[in-house]
Amino acid sequence: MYKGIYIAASGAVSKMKELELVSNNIANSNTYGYKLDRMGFRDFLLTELNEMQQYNDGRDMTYHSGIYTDRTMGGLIHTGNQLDVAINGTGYFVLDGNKYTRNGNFKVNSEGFLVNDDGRLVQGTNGPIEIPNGDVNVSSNGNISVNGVFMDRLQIVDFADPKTVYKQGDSTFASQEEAFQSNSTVEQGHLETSNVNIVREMVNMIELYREYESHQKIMQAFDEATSKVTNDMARL
Amino acid sequence: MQRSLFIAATGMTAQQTNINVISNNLANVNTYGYKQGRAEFQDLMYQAIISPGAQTAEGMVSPTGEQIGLGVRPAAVGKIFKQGDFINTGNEMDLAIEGQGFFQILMPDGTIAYTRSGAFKLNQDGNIVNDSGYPLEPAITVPNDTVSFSVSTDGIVSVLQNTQTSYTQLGQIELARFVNPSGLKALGKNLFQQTDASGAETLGTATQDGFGSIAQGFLETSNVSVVDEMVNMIVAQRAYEFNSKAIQTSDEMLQTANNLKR
Repeated sequence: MYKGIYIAASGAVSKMKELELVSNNIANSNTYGYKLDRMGFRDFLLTELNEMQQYNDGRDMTYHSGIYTDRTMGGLIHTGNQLDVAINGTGYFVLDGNKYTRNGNFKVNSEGFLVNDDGRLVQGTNGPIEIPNGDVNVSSNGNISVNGVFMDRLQIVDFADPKTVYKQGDSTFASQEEAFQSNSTVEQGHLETSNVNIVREMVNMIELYREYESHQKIMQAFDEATSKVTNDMARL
Repeated sequence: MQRSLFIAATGMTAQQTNINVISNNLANVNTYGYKQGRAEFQDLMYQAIISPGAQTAEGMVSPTGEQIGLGVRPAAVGKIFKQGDFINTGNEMDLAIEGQGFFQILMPDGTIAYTRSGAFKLNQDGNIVNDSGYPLEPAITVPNDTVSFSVSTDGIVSVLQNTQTSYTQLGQIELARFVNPSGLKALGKNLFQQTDASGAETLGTATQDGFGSIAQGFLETSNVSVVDEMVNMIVAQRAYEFNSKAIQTSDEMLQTANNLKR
């Protein structure tokens, strides 16, 4: 059969995948600390054919090569809430279970420890951070004091290769790599908004939809050509 | 089926929750002692098509894998216990707390509820009660020949009776506070109930240990900022719209797929 129809189909399938990513970005446009995803494409089989040193006629299918997380910083909004903190710069807050997050809307649980929305303990340099009743103050280097008494320092870590930090859902990230102390500063009373630029996502969506449509036209063109061959060519 | 349809649908549902919370804040913009709610979201789980760390070729691993997020979920509707503004009512039965404490209210079922709304009244027996007629705990009864009623900043209630020249001390208002007030269960009627998340209450005296001082003749207004809520509402509405566009696009793509075969 014609190779072309499959090439066009591979393009269309990739565009459908990309729409899933764009939808997820849009759905999380109001999620604190969310980092948007993008898809990269590569021509399928080309590298494999090259490796096998086989003849390649340049007609390749496309395939999504990977999903990249855009880790640029989201905007900071002022909430005025004492337990809201945002990282100004790179790095992550550390939660128990070796999870990392940029979503700093923290709470205090019934035992008096600082936790995230799911109740995971937020880690300080000396383990979980206890917050007694009182006025909480977080300095720019992450030192937490309550009623002027120093409690602990928020642990903020960074990774040598940001690509190794992958999403785990529930606003958390995980990594197999070794983390090290970050120099980023902390803003109390602020939250980091999602870094999704909704205009950009809408443009992406329009673009990918139109590309999808062109793939469909190509498939139809191939179909028509096939139809000519099967039905008209033999008609004398 | 196309995942994007459902992903965008989670976005619309989340924004609906957001609008519900914002509406409730706006509805209570004039409610004494009301604390603003805030909808908080988290990204849903990720479907791993290639797991991070999976082998891609001999000796090579995929650094990020290929994960597709499945949308968004409301994680919490947190109450923000920021101090509301005070208004001077001049009414001697109106009390406001400047600080972290709560007034204790004895519920009809015998349990204790907590409130920041200090619009107290007297009932027919002279007991100090809230708007719903539930008495303050510990109970304070005001004699019916009272000419002047006074509450000190540390909560001592004293009255000047008709025939007397000096104030008589009736009792002291005890305040409660919680490690995590955001974990309190809102009962409606300006009342909150203790939960496992809020922790047990700590009882104490006003002006001490951050319980806050009591101001007589003042009421604490709602801490809702109308401007903030309007901005939040615009953001939520637009986000809802964008999500609906994603659904439309998914639908059109499916339609295009349907039209492939003519």
